[in-house]
Amino acid sequence: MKTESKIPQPISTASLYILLALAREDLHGYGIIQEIARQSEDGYRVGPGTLYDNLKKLMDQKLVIDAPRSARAKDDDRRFYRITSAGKAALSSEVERMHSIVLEAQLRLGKREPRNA
Amino acid sequence: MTSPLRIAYQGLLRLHPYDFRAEFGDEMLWIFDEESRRGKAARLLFDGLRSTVIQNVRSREQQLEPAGPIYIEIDSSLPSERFAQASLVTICCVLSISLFMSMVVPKVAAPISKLLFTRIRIFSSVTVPPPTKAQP
Repeated sequence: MKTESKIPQPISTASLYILLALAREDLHGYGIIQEIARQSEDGYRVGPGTLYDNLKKLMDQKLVIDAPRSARAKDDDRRFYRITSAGKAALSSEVERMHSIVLEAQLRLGKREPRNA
Repeated sequence: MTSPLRIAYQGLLRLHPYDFRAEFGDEMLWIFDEESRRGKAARLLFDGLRSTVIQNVRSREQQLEPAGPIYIEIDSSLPSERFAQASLVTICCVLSISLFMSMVVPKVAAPISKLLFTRIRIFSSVTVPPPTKAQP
């Protein structure tokens, strides 16, 4: 029988940036694109195709949901997105994973003392 | 006024699967318009094209997923991937046969320059009279 792996799958770069953009506040699609450009200092830009492809996957995994309309102005008919608690957990897990990689890389490159030293 | 880029982008959006287009199509076009005002619309065409391919492939994969252990839906349509695969297989077969023939029939094996620059005699049977010398 096939057993499911307990190791969380790495999140794609676009998905990671989307979760990161939504971590602070609810945003609409264009707001997410602008926030990603701001966070990466224009080094990483996503187009609408990439954005909604990843957003759909995140919504299917229940990591992102539609923000309720009551949370914003009534005349604003744009669709806002909100990160869920599962999304925040996934983001934290990914950040930890990346942090451990950075630590290991620094150790191997001789930029940091080993932990047990 | 609708720009050609916008028309092209709308065309790309129409190529997306219906579900995806119905859910995100308007927002994608809105973002395209916003980026157009900033003069960055052209690069979104590539993103749109990429998204079209990804969404169509994904949609087809989801359709082909078996519904159960016994029932498997057989897709009888002719998708572009099958054409691409068939073309690739045909090219491989032709190349293999050509290679085999070039080894089996030694006369066929000739330098490429010779094959390219061989003079073709169409009217070889027609005899051309030799030029006559002008008499003084």
